[in-house]
Amino acid sequence: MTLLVESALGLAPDVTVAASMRNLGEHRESYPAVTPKPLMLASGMFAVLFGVLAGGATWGAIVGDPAVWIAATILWAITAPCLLGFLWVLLRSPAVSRRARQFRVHVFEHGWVWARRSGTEAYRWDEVQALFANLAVFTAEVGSRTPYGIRIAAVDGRRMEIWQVHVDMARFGRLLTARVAQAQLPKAMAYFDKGNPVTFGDLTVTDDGVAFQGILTPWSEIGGVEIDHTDQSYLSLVDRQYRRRGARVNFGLMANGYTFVLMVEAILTKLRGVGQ
Amino acid sequence: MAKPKAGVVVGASVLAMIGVVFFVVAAFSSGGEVTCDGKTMRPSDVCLEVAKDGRKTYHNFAELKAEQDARRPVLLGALGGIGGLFVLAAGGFLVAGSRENKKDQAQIEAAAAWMRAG
Repeated sequence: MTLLVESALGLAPDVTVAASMRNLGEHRESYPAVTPKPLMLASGMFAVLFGVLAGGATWGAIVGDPAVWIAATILWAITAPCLLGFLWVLLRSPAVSRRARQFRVHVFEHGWVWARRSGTEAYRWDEVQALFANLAVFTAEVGSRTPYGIRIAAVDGRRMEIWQVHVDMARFGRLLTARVAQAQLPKAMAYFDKGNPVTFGDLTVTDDGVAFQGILTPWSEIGGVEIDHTDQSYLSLVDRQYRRRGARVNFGLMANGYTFVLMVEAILTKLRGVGQ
Repeated sequence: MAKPKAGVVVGASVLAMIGVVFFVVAAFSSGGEVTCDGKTMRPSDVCLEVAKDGRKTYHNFAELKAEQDARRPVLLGALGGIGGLFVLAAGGFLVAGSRENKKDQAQIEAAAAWMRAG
């Protein structure tokens, strides 16, 4: 197994400054920018497909029926954005661009720094107010459901989106979601322990159970949380026999879904401790 | 209405652009001139059509005008319809993106309550 994790040596000065400004602590590892192969493959495939059809239609219009010019024009109009998209992605990718090869996500003890084309920005795990994670099933050795696209809103109003086209999300996505959920859990629990309901998208964690659109699933019926993946990922409450109970919500559209999972587990552990 | 994300705007713009291409092609195809082998005919011209079996047929201006005028609305309808579908899809994409962003915003604000308290 080969891992693209780089040593702490040779951090760029802007990265060091950004990290120290937010007290991120020690540098742990870095993830280099990746060449967005799926994006290039998709745009390249469409460019070739429509390009061949457009070329054929143009040839047909020249040697045959001039009415085919209409079809040729339409096909060229579809080919052009596909080809431009392919070239745009290729020229900005680390495979071609020397500058893009310098882009990295640097993970520190208390957060991360993303050095990219638009600048270098630092975030702390505990400054993430909302995290939306789109999951994918990776067949690699990293395991099953892993975030491939993450949207973040920080407490200071900054927004960030990081996808599989930027870095290896099978590894960084997993790390990011775990660290953010661990940082958010004490805050959510502290708020809950004061008697407040805590809302995660369409789900609200209350003293009595988990509510979904006014319907409450009591804690006595909840055995845990399950995330299933079909075309998208869905989160459901399950009982102790893993039978679905209550709501099934789109995990990718749910803010702080991982914190919700940890919170339900923490409350269930506490309730089981009391029950014994 | 909340502003949709940049990706949604780009996607909607591409769809709308493809729709506009269909409209432009439809507009260029809507000219009233009568053509023979792609060339504009004058009322005094005669068009010779040679079939695959070598059979020759002569058409005058009036015959071709009637034939092409009957075909034009179908072509315009098809091109305009497809173009309209692309533009409608772009609009739908934008509206859905705005709604999703509004929902995201509500969730971000809801999280602020416990983030601040913790």
